[in-house]
Amino acid sequence: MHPDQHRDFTEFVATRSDSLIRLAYVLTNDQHTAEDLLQTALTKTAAHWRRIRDSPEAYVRRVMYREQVGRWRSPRWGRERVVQTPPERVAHDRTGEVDTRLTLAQALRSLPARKRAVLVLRYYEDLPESEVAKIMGCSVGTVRSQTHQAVARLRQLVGETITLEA
Amino acid sequence: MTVDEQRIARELRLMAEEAGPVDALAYVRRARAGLIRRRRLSWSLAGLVAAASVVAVLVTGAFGGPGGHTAAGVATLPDNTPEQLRAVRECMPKGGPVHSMDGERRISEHGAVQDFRLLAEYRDKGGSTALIGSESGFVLCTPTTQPEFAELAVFTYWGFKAPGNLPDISGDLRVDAYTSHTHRYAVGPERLQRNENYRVVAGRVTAEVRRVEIDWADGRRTDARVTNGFFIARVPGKSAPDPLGREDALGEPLMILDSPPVTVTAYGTRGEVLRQEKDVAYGPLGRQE
Repeated sequence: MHPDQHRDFTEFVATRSDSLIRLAYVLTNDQHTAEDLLQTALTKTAAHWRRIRDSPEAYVRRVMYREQVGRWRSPRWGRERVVQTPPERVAHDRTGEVDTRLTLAQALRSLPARKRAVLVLRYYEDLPESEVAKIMGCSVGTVRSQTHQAVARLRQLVGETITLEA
Repeated sequence: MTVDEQRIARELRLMAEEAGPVDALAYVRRARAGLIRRRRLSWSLAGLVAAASVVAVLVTGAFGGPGGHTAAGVATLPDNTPEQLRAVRECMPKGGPVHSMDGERRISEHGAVQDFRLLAEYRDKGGSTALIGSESGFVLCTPTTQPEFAELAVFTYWGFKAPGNLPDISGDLRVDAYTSHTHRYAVGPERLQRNENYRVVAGRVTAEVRRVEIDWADGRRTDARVTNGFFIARVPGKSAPDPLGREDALGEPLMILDSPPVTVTAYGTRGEVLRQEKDVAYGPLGRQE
């Protein structure tokens, strides 16, 4: 990498790493996995820096999405993990607001990677469907159907009516 | 209660706030190191053969140039064999070094498993302890068949100072660690815990050094295992009454690990002393100057 490119790359990572690790975290739901995902994405970004330096963040985002969904598709990637301490149960004696938040949080965390990813891109990143389609490498229609399915699954998990704009 | 897209967005933002901060410069460094590895992989077979010879020269000659400096960097450290990589992973079940007081808390700026190589390993009838290092620093690992009792992978910068001075060896010998490591395990149906304490010395030498000897100051002397310019040695620790006369919770004299200062000697090809470090003091891992 040319020194000028190295400087630009370093500046990009320094200014955007906080935002990128948060995106990686909502995609993976695990700090260590998020760090590995971010590192993989940045290594690929560095390799193509000259070509993508005008819009590196879009490239990182695309790599992270594809890596995460591809990793989840791999047969080596277990859907269930063994943990030392079982997660705490929802506290049903709290206020309704807290109950709802916890339930929704758990529902989001339990969504499969692809379904969570499409919600992340649409509602956390607030990207238009056309941009999400580019990142996912599919049509706008597929984005809509994926979003619909993800929301339907979320509704099922939460056990409540969820209203969304069409 | 109705949940709409704003609620989903808000929940995702709350989830995002749980993400821990990262060391941007460490990510840049590893991204560039990965870049180097990717380029190497894309070389032709002939190029790889040539590169292998270059790397061999770097590895075997790296630690003994005329200036007494290594040419090390993670790119020139020898690759792990699959068995060594497995040992590194077992040593760092959290994916990298962890906090010395909290084994659940990984410290990402100290690197990840892929940054570390098994540099030298000392085996005896009680088991083994390995020096596992990266471009920036190292951890010690004492394998156990009961991972819940394993020592924490506590990171120490080469030279006890960030970002680590791996290439810098002045005077043929540098002692990076004189500390203790414990092989813990449980026995019997009541799972009684046993601790086997070891005094461990590890460090770096130049290519001129053929042998490293540790004088443990208790009548014992040990030849360290020297591999590619790195060395490590250990002996079973002995307990001694606390010199301050303190007592334990039962009112018995408190017993501590006897850890007098050691002497480390580096010998050349003709058996001559190239460098000797006397009165090397015991100290914990993870400290910085």
